[in-house]
Amino acid sequence: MTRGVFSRQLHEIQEEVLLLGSMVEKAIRRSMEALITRDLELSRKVVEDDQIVNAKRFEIEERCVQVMATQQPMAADLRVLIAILYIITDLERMADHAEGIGRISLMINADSIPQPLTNLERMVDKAVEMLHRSLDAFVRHDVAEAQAVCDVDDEVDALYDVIYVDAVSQMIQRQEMVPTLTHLLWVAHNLERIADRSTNICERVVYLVTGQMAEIPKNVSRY
Amino acid sequence: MLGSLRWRVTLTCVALVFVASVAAAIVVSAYDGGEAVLATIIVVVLGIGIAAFSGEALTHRTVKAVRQLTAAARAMTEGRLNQHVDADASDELGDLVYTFNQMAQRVDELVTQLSQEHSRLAAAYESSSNGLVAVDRHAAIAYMNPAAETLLNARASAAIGQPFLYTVRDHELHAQLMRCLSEQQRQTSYLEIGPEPRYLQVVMFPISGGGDWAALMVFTDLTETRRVDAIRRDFVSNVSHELRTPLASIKAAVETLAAGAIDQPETAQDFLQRISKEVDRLTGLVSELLELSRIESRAADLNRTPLDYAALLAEAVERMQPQAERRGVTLSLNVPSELPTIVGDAERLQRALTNLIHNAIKFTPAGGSVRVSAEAKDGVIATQVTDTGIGIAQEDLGRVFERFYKADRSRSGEGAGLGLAIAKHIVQAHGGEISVQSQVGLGSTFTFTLPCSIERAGRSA
Repeated sequence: MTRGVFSRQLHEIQEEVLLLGSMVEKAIRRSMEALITRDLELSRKVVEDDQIVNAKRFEIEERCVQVMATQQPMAADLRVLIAILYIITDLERMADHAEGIGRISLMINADSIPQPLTNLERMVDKAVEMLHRSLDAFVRHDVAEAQAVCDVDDEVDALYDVIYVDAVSQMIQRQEMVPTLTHLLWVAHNLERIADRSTNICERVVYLVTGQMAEIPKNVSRY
Repeated sequence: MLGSLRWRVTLTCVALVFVASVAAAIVVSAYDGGEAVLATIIVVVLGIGIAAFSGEALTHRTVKAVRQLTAAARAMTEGRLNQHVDADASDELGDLVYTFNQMAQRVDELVTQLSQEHSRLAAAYESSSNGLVAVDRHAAIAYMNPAAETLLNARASAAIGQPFLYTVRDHELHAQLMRCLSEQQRQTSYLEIGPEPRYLQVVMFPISGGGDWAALMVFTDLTETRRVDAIRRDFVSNVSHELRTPLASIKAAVETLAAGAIDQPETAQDFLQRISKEVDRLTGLVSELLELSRIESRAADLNRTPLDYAALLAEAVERMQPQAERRGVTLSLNVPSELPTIVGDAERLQRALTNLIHNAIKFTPAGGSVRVSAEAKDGVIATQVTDTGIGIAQEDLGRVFERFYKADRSRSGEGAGLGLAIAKHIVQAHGGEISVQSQVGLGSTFTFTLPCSIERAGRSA
């Protein structure tokens, strides 16, 4: 009987995690869209909505703690709840990075953004893909998918390198672009961090399934 | 009266009691003592025998009818609805049998009707090009049609039974779905999903009396509509931009003349020439637009005649020689002596060739070369226009054939960016294909194919 109650509560918490994931995914997408289309209104909204994400994260944490206190789960069940606690932390940090991108967008005065742009768009597509797939892996308890997602992180790091080189060379050629390009580098940095957090989520998924907490092997990354 | 079960049973009991009493009276009066007891026993036994026999005889039909009814009812619960009880009974039970038969028939009819309606609805759901997803009270998926599987990148077998949120992880859509379920009100929303991405409109209807189904979600794919809208917007904005620039120049020149420049002959001439040039430009633009819309809307209206393609190529090259010479570019032609006949619109093909050669010359610096060649193979004639010009960047290659697309914006003063779009439509209208290869700094090669005329197909390989 308690098993039934616990199971139901766990499912509800899991749904809440997915809702949080969706909010974060949208925040990331919107922050980049606002940056690219110079939509200051949208940027402001992204910054404001971060509060909602934070509130949701704490709400889920509360529920987890409550379930742990009242149901006192053991072994695998306990792992699931602990994994969830870490995952929502990562999600909330990702949203913070999205908010950061929103703030940067408001700081950039230029009317249009110079060239590292295509690669930034590729970066955000990859980062969002990673987030989406890591939550897929979480829902399905899919270790193979979790590991596959971590491989994509290499692509994101590679894009970051390209953007860096591109931005620096442009800064040398056109000094008046230095402020804007520096801001864009920060944006790229935020995206790289977002992608990295997805790999954290994947590690938690592996932990949830296997009971082992380990770093998933990736190619050596500079970041 | 004898037909009624009630009367039969009553009569039987009465008769029995009567006979028993009479027999007892006779016996008691005819014998005394021990023999009386014996005689009583014999009479009682006989009486029971008669009673049993008559009871069975009188109720046999009734019991049989009851058994048949029970069997039929059981068969119906097991799903065999087409039952009919053949009981020969004209009493109360007969009424029951008759009514039962009627009921069985009615139920059978109703179920057949419902089954048909179900089949029709199922056909409608399964075949709909809109995605249909039914959810239960707890927002778990109860049904998903094939179109929904495609639009949502999901599989019904995995999704059914799971919360809708697992399939479409959108918190705003989820919130609206919950509102639809709790407030029993229709909701409309929009969703961007998938890698492509796809834009979907979602309409959520609450359902009452649907058992498992508490709400139905209808997904309509708006991706194509949005894309076409965007193209149209771009086109209109491009056309107005292209028109505005020369018109502004003309206006400025006219104002200057009106303000007094007209009194100075040399200046006036200069301005008039400028105006004339801009008018030419506008005329060129308008005729290109007209040509493009004509090609696009009535591709079948080609004036097809058998053509001497080699001659056509030679003519195009000859026509463009003066322009090439003016720009210091070498224009050459390289074709085999005999090319298969093709059937096509000479004027339009000339235009396509002219556009390609014109572009090649335009983007090749002085000292460079443009080469036009053709060869027949695999049932088509492949024509190539190769230049040693500035080339086209990778990211532009896929878009050069778009209307108004200009890869090199610094040259936006010349032409409207329609030449390649027109060439592409002409080639495609003839059933051919056009493509480009290029390297920045080295040059570009435009290739298009035209199918050979059928009669010569054997010879053209």
